[in-house]
Amino acid sequence: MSNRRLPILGAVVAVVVVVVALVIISNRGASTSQAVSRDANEATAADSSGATTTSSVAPVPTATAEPSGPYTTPMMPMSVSVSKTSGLHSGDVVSVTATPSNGSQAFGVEARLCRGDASIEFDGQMLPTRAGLCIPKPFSDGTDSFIEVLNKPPYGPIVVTFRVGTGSQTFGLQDGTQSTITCDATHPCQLVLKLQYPNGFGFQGVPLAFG
Amino acid sequence: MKSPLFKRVVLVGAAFATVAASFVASASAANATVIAAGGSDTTLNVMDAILAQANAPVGDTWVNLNPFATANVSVPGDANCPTMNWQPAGTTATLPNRLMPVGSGAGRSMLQAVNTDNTTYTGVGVKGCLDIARSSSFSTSSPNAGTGEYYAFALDAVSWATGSLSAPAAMSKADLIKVYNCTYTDWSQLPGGSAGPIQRYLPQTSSGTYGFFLSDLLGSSSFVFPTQAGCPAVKFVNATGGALEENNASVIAAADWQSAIFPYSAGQWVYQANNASNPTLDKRVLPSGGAPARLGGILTNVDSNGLTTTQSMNANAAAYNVTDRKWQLNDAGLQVVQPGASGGYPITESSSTKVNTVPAFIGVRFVYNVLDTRSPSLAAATLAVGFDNTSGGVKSALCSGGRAAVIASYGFAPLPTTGVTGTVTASANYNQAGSTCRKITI
Repeated sequence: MSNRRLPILGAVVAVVVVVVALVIISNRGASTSQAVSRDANEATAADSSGATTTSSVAPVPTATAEPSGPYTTPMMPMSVSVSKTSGLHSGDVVSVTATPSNGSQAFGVEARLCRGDASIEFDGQMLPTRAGLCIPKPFSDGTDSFIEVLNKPPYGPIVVTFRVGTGSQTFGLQDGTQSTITCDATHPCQLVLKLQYPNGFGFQGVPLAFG
Repeated sequence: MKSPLFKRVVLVGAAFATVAASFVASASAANATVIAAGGSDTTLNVMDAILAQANAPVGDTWVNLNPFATANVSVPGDANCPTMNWQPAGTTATLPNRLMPVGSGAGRSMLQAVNTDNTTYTGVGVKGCLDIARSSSFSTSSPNAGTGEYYAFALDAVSWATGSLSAPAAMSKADLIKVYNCTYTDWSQLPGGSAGPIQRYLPQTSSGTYGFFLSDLLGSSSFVFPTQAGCPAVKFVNATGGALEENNASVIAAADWQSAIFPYSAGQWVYQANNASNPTLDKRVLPSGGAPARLGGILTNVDSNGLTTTQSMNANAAAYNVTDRKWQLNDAGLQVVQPGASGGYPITESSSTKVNTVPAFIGVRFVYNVLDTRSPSLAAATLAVGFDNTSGGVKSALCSGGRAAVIASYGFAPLPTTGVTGTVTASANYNQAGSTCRKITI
C-alpha cells in the first residue's frame, strides 16, 4: 500500500470514530428528552398561541406528556406508611405515619382528599379554589377534607388520621370556572400529603380505592 | 504482528479522530447554554421552582443563585462564561469568580457589570456569567437604559409589618410617612394605636423591597430619614449586627420586638404563614417563639367594588381564604370565591404604578425577571422567563400560564393573559402577545 493512501485511510477511521460519537451523543439527547416539566398544569415547555408567529426566538423543545396520578417528591428526608388504602368505605379511617429519616425532623403534615388522576407537586395545586384538584369541604358528616397536624420538638414521627368520604361535589374556582370531584368505587381518589421538614417541604400522593 | 504501515494508518486516523472529536465536543458545548439568575431574595424561592433543572431545555443548565449562600456556588461554563464560583459576601473574589449579588439592585448591577466587561479567560468572555436579574423593584436606568428588559411575571405587594401589640391594625400612607420621618414616635399617636415607642427598621439598601418601600409607600426614592430626640436612627442591621435581610422578622433584635416597624413583602408573608408549622421557613417569628409578625393594613378610600368612598377602610394585602384554609394575596381571585370583604380586594394590576401613576391602593408591585439585550444568551434567557411581545409571539412556560400554580404556591398572584391599560400610556403595549407576563423596556 502506498503512503499516498495513508491520509485517506486515516480519514476513513476518523469518520467512523466521529459517526460513533455522534450516535452516542444523539442517543443521550433522546434519553434526556424524556425529562418532563415540574408543573402539572403545563402541557408543553413553551406555547406559541399564534399561527403567524414573528418571534425572534426559537421554540423550546416540547416536553413529553405530563404523568398523571399520585406524585412523590424525590429524596424527601421522611418516609410514609399507610394503614389501609383499598376497599375503603365512607367514614373509614386512613392512618398515615410520617417518620423523619435519621437526623431529620418532621415539623408537620397536611392532608387533603384529591382527585386520583392528579399529579400534585406544589402548594397551589393542593388548594381547592386555585386548582380544583382537592375537595374544599367534606363529602359528608364524619369525614374529612383537610387535616393538618403540627408537631412539637423533638419533631419525631407524626400520625395523621383521616376519615375518607365518598360522593361528588362541584365548586367554584378563583378563575371563575368550576370543578367537580368524585370519589367512589369507580372513581379512585388520593390522599395528598404535604410533609414539612428542615428547609423545605415535599408532597406524597397516596392512592385510595373505594370498595 | 502489526506492520509499520498499519501503525501509521492508525496514528494518522487517531490524529484525524482527535481533531474531529474535539470539533464535535466544542460544537456540543457551544449548544449547551448555562443560564444563571441572581439578585432578589423576595423571588428566590419561586424562581427556584420555575428554574428547576427539570424545566430546562434538553442540554441546557439553569442556575438560580441564592443570595444567602454561605459557601461558593460553582457554575459550569459555556461559550459565554468560563466555569466560575459565585462567592458569599465578605469574601474576596478573584476573577473570573465574583461576589454573589444580594438584592434586586445588586442583581441588576451585576447584569450591567458582566455585559460591559470585555475580559476573556482562556478565550471565553464573561458577558454570559449572569443572564437574568431577579428583581422586585423597577428602575429606568438599571441595568442599563436602552438595553434593559423587565419581564413582570406576578403581582406582589409591600406593606409595613410589626410584632407590636401596640400598633394599629392599619394606617394611612400619610401616617406611615409620619412614622418614618419622626413626626410620630409612639404607637399611641396613630389612630387605633396604644402607648409604646416606635423603632424604624429597613432592609439593606440594595434590596428591591427597600427601594419600592421608599418610592411607593413613602412617596420618594430619596426619602430622608431624620433622627431626633425620641426618634432613634433607622436600623439597617439584624440582632447580630449584620445587614438586615428583607422579609425576615426573626432576625429583629428581641428587645425591639414591640417597637419595630419594617417593610414586608405580602407574598413572602403569605408563603411563610402557609408554612407556619416549619420553623426553618417561617421567618415571621423570633427564635424564642411568640406570636408572628403581622402584616399591617393600609387605610384606603376604595371599597370592594373599587369605588371611592368617603370612609377609609382597612385594606390588607393578605387575606385568609376560608375555603382553602390558607393565606393568599387579597386579589380578584379571592373576590370570586369569597366576596364581600369590607376593605375590598386591593391587589390588582391597576394598582401598580407601572399601570396607573396614582393607584387606588399603594404597595402593589410587579415582580420581575430582568434581561439585557446585550447578553449573548438573550434568546435562551427569553425562553426561560420572557416572551416575544408581538401578537401571537412565542412565550416561555412562565409567560404562557404554565407556572400559575407555582406562582400561587409562593404567595404571589399570577397575572391573567389580558393586561389592563391605565394612565401610563405604555401599559397598553406591555402585553401584545396574550402572555401571563408583561414586558417593559427601558
